[in-house]
Amino acid sequence: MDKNLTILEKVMLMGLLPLLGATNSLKQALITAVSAVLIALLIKFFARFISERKDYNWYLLIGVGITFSYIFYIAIIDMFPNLEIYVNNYLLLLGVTPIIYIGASASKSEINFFSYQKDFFLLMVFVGALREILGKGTFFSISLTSAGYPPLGFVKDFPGAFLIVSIIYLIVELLRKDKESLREGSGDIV
Amino acid sequence: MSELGRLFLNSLLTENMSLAFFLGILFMIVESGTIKTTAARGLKYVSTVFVINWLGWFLHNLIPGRLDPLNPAVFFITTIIGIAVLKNWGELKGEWFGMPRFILALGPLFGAQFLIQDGGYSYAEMMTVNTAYIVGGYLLFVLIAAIKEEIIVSDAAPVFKSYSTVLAAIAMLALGVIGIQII
Repeated sequence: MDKNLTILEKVMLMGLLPLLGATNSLKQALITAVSAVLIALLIKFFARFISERKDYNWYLLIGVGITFSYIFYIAIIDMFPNLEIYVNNYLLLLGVTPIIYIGASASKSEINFFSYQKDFFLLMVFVGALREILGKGTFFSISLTSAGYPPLGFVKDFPGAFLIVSIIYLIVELLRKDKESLREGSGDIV
Repeated sequence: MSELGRLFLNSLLTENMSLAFFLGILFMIVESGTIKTTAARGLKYVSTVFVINWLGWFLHNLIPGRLDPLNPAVFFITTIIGIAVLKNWGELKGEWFGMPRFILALGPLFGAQFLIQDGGYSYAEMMTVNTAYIVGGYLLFVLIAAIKEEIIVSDAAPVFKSYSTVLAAIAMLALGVIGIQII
């Protein structure tokens, strides 16, 4: 199932937790996405001081990641009290999300790192906007439909999160350029 | 129905840690294999989650309230213990996209402890919620393995033999759970 995946598909898997949990509204998605990218940059910086990728070094990096996500969680609430309603535990859980450790992975080049972060940021914003418009009928808290009549109310809840992410994943699959490799590996789930 | 019974059902269905809070979904869709292997692997996974949740709750209650900001550090240590236990059982070996495979289990182990802490449960409530989490998690893990097996043997176009179908199936399952709540 993990074979022949594009960067976008890998990003969707590695960032699945915030993609599902922190995209209830566009503001929430933006806050989480910006925090994730900044924490990923900090992790990448710290990873430079670790030459070997042994398990205990990874534990150290994960400890740093959790510390940064906790600092971001506290700092956002302290510095922007009006944004508190958009901050949830998924910001704190960024520390255990694989996407922020992509810069520490030995096999990823500098260009790839920024591609992953850019794709993750855009996906978060897109899913957040889609869920807010369909699930609440608002965009940046501005009402687009009659109050109480969102186009697809269930999208703001957890089944909607799964459905929206699965549809986007399917679109990515349909638009991928290397369709030949997809056909070749059709015996397995791609 | 008693309060604990209602809490059990809620935590099993509508507030399930994997379906409603997405903890462990990545682990389940990546780590599930055949139904047989997943059934065995799932037992190791849920028993570890259960013990780590209990340990996290115990340590959280042991530490004075003024030291609550230390909770992430405590939960991180218990998470590492959980990873060590799983690795000792021969799980989470190797790499996943250039990272150690154990990174997949961090979310459910660390996040579930926060969920239980947020609930502010008594011992009986914590045990009820914890049991419901692992029963729900185990069923979902095996169900995801079954869905993956069905996708592999189906005659569908290759584009549908992907994680998108697994996620869509989970979405349908989640809708069913919401339906049960309405009933």
